[in-house]
Amino acid sequence: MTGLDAGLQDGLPRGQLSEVVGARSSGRTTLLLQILAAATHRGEIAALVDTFDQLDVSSGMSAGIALDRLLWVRGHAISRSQVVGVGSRSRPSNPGPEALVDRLIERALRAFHLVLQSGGFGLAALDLADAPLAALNRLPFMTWLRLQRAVEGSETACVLIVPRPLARSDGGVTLSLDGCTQWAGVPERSRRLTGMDVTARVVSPRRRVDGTVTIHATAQSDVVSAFRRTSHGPAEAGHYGNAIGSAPACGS
Amino acid sequence: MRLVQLLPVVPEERFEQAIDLEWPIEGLEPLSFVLGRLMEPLAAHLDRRGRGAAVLHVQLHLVTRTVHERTLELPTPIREARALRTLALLDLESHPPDAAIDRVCVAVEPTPSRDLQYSLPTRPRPLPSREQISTLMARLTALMGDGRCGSPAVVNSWEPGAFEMNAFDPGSGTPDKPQRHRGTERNALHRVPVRGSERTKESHEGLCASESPWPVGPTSVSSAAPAVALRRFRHPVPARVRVEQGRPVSVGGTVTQCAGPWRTAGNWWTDETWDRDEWDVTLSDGAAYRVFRDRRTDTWFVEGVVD
Repeated sequence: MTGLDAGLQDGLPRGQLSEVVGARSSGRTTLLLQILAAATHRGEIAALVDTFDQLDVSSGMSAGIALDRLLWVRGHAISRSQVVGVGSRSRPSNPGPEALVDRLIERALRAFHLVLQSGGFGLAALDLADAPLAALNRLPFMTWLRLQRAVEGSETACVLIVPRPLARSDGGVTLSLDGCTQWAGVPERSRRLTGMDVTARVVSPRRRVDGTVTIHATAQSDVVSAFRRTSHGPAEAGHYGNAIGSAPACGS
Repeated sequence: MRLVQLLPVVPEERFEQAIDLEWPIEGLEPLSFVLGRLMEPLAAHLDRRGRGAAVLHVQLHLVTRTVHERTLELPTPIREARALRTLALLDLESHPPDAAIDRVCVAVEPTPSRDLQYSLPTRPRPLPSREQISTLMARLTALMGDGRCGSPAVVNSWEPGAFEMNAFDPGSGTPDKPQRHRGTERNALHRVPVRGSERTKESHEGLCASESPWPVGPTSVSSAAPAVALRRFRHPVPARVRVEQGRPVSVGGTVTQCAGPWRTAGNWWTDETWDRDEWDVTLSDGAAYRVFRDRRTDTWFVEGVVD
């Protein structure tokens, strides 16, 4: 994570909406857990609104999250049986899976809004990574503006985990991830999954920290990462609060 | 003659308020005004005596001659009328009375109030007060349901995905000593549950934890490798898997890499037993999954995504 930390320079900005974008196995959950671990390690409290109840608690513990400082708001997992049962001919009045997913997303957004309004959290994350794109497209754009309004001026760094860019605020950053799993062992019987290479593209026009960084997330070998700037000069030390990085923001 | 010292006996003070309504009320909105009217003198009484409410009892006498009673154990002594009213209303939203109300009675079990000493900050940022947290938790519970909000905790079990939910109480933790597990390569992928004796303190630096102020340079951070995470399907998804020479070759898509099996079994002495062979697979689209075969039913499931 060294390279990404250096690339972001001041971490995720507080009081802004940032997003982590990626497909399955792109490293978005790994990055999310690292961000949560950093926030709780600093003594702050963090909140995770888990829309479809997909957090693996032992993964979180391995990432270093102080679990007693994490508020986990669990949505409801959609099982195959639920999807099949809902909208079946025997119960025609029930909403279909589409409406069910919409309702779960809406509920998660309301919970996230409550967390932001309450204040006091160093980090608040909303996990919509496995939400269908069609369902996200149906959300009115005002949804994201409301979230931006709720977090503006606060000391909370707000992160969305989404499958495609949706809602970065002006001062926020977008981390676009691409991952590739790493395997070891030549004979089939000694084959094993050893980790993942994650390429993160940082997009942040206002803060001028755009660039690409590769993270080798393996369990045993050393991390090799480097930040390659693609445009602009060094970021200006502005009024943005820190977020992932730690340091108190200027004026905070 | 024996002299006995006379001591005045102070009757135990009761902290309760009640109101008989001229007309029965239905719904929480009118009840909110009534509760507000009752809570204010109650909070003032608590304030005069330097006490706080530890337990709040709300009795609603209904027109059906029944009593709808709710008891709230407050996480910390509270004597703010607004906070007490909000907590009572949020609880009644989840457990509403089934008829109109013609009498409302509110009582509290008092306790010495919480004294706060404001001193130089010892934390980088102040935590929200317990009143704020309890109000937030009540709102979230009303929205998401019981048992859906709190702090996760690992349990002493080998069962894959086992966890438990604790009440969210950040003030009681030790912020500078996160529980961190330094495990083997397999442990990092959470194949093996964490045991308490293996927890070690490890400095967590890097992306999200550097302590140096702006700018964060590469020299100020360590090179600790992040552990690859699993995104777990809480209900494993049944999968159609084609097996050749004992290895999965198709799981909804062509398998390009696979590793396994790792056999786990447990709880054979209870009904909640499990016995399965786990595999890590990468499909042709690049996504990596953890799949397992339930050995009792010989069916395959997808447990989660390596993400």
